[in-house]
Amino acid sequence: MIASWKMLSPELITAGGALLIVVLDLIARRKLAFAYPYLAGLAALAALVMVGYNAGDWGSMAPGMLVSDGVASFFKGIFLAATLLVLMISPGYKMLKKSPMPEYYSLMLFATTGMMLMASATDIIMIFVAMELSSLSCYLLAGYLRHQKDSAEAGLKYFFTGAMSTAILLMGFALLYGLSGYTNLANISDSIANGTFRPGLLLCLALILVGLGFKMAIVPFHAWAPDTYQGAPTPITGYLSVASKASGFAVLVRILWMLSVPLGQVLVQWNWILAVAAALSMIIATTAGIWQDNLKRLLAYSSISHVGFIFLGVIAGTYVGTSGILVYLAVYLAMNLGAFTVVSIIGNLTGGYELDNYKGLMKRHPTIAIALAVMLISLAGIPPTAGFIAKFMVFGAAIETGWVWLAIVAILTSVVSVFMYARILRAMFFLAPPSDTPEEKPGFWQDLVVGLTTTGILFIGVYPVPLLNLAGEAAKAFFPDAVGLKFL
Amino acid sequence: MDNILAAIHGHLISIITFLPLLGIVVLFFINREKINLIRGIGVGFSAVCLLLSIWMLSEYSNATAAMQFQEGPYAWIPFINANFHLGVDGLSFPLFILTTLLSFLAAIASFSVKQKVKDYYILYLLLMTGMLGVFVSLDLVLFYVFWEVVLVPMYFLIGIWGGERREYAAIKFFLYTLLGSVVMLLGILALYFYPKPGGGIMGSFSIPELIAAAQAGVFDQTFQILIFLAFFLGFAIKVPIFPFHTWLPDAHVEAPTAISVLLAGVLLKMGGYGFIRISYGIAPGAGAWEYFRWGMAALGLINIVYGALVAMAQKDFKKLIAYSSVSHMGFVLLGIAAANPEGYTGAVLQMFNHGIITGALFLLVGVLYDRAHTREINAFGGLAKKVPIYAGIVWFTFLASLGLPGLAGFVSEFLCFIGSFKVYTWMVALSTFGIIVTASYFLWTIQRMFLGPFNTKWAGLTDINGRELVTLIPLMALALLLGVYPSLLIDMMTPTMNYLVSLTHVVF
Repeated sequence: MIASWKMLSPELITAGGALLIVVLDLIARRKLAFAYPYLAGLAALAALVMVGYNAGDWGSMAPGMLVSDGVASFFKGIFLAATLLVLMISPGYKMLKKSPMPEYYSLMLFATTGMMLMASATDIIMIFVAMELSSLSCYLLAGYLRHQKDSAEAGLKYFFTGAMSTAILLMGFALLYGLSGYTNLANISDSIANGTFRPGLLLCLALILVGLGFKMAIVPFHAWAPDTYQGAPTPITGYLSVASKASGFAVLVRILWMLSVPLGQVLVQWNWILAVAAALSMIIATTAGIWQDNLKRLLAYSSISHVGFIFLGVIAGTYVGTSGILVYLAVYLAMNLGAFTVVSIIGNLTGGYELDNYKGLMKRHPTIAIALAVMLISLAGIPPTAGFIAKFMVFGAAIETGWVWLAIVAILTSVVSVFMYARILRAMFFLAPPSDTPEEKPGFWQDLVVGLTTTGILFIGVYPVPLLNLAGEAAKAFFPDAVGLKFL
Repeated sequence: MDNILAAIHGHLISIITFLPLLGIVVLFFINREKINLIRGIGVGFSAVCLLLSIWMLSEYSNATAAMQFQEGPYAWIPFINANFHLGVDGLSFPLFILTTLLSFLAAIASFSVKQKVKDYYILYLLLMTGMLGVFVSLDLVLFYVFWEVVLVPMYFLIGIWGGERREYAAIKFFLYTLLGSVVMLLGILALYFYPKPGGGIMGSFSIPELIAAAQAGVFDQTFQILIFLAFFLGFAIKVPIFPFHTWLPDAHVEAPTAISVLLAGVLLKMGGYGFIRISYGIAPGAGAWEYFRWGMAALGLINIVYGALVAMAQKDFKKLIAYSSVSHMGFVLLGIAAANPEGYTGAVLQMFNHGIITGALFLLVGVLYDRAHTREINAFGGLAKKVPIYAGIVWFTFLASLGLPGLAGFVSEFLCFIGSFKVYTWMVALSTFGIIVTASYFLWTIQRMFLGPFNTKWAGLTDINGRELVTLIPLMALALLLGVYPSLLIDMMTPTMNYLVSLTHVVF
């Protein structure tokens, strides 16, 4: 059944870590509470090391169910990096200190396990099971501070919309099974390809898009995102905004690639559906984001707009496009987690997430203000930050495949998004701080995460070669003949 | 020692362009209380850049149109074939020297900034790198990165140290310029993915390669027109061309003095440079197309006349100078539209002259504003009695700006006229009206501010001091020198201008 334990080791490590924390808590009660973050972090780190170790050693992990290839590994790397960074900042988050913690860490590891399985899955049932594993864990994490109205509401909204979307997704999968008679994606592809044009396929894909679109929070399936992001504990918001979205992309990219042959029959219509969704995401999210005063909501809308940008790469469907998706998600990981870390730091220091809490931040905490400024400039896609490289790749993919109108929407909304981020810059740098500001400093781990992400963003912005090469190598899993863009 | 000198010599452009970044690193470690040290470092680094660029000047050859002091192409991002490629020629070198000169003088003029001096100079040095890099990049991705690098420091410099409406001006500048830039980005990507004859894509961001491809007739008509338009928006906003100029009055007026100098002196030139180098180099067919040429000349005419008329209506001294900038850049457009050596030479010379003259004008506004804390022209009167030296310098600079023969402004404006008179006779004739209006508003301003009965409110004004003189005298000297002996600069440009004109023909 399991072809290679070594290839499966990252998932085993994280799942094992999660179970270990649960068991330890049952035995030792709260006495070992200090150790759980380190345990979880170690598990995530070990899994990340194993993912790197397995690189190049591609093949089937569980025949028909799970595969290990470049794209899957890259996504796993993103999930684990996100988990690691969020685990670093979670203990310092004041709100969480009041609530019991062990379930938090094990849930995160379970969620990560589910996501890693999603990235590797090649069977629709496997996808569904893995997705439920990660989704249920995420619902609980979002509503973790259950005594707080905001968090409880966030968790509940997330759960209801999530459950409904997953049901629709399952319907799509069921139709796919009905059309083909198989659950394995490769077999499905073979059986449908032999037939004539199947409009049913378009319906399946549309239903699947609904389910995945919820996960990625693309318009029009985005309505849960602002409320959930606002209410959830800030580290979890960061986690959701990166890992949960990326997992949706992992499944989408996998399905689209493995069904690419039968998909060819409905490609034009399919791409138009995606294009409209992407355009709407970019437009609606940036426009709505301008009016937000709560930073978590603002970043939620910004996330939605970024999903729209990544969709440019999905629609392109070329080597450039797929590399672009990977690069964008990696850069997005750094930008968003860095931004949310700063938000959680300010939340700790001032107790609030409104724009007013950021007034005059340059005077109070200059390094934090500059770090957030770098994140925001990167989110806006302005050189010399990594965000520019990411946007460059996806815009290139759009131009390459002739989606000029979409590229124009993308650049115009980029300009609008600058206004959204500039409001924060204005508050931090142009306005005067309120007089009664506490002089606390952020904790060590939070400083570390902010420092790492900021340095990463600036470094990749000036010298993106390592990331581009990594993503390019990974994308070769889907495009074996590609040898770098210049040889296209 | 010789090895070190040789190594420096081989990489002069990179050193000059990236040295300010080293300055930023140095400044990071300095205590923000040590204002004089900070100023010293800021001025010091810009001085070193200026001296190195003068060294380049001494080695620059006037005989060739080829790129000199070339560095690269070194592989930068092999994945997308973006390379690190720098070089100067007769088009970019005058502008490069203009940038180092103005950066040095503006760094001295920045002594009037008293708050958050460390942050100011850090952003200032970052701005320097961006500006310098734009003129020397020979790779489109590199060019774009430097182009955008300018935006963020400008936003903060205007928004934090600016005048009353600084926040509005800063975000307006940022969004407006960014809009043009992103459209330009699409053009850059479209060039990369353009299907090559013989299969495959162009796959190149290298400016020389793309120019060669354009000359070989690779790009078809529609594509050239689209590319020209895509780049047009980006450059038109920067120049600025009517009706994309509305960011300029706000940004120039609200920016602190030294930043206004750089805005007017350098940033506007980035647009003109982009037109000649990129738009007309890579889409020569579209550039030489009669409709676009006519359009360029017409826009130039509108800039000159409209800019002058609006300048005349201004009550704020700084806003008047800002609109005079719009007006003067119109000559550049006329020269470009002419598409002959005189026109091009006039255009580039006008960019250089405008840089030094309008740079001086903004410095002068700063001198007055620092003392009087108002820029309203009608609030003054008879100042020549109290501040005669200042009045004299203003008088001189106004004359240079309105194109008095014997001073620099005349030569460049005249060359632009000569160039386009052959082709667009009546547009040139109408533009002379703009010169009359320019003369009138400058003279009228002199009359309102410096002549007539002395307004006793300003009895406490002090005349111009040594530091301010240091920033102004080089500019005045250059204005005089280039007015009397413009060959100094024109000889530098001629081979390149001839070459660039030869590129401009309809290749479809």
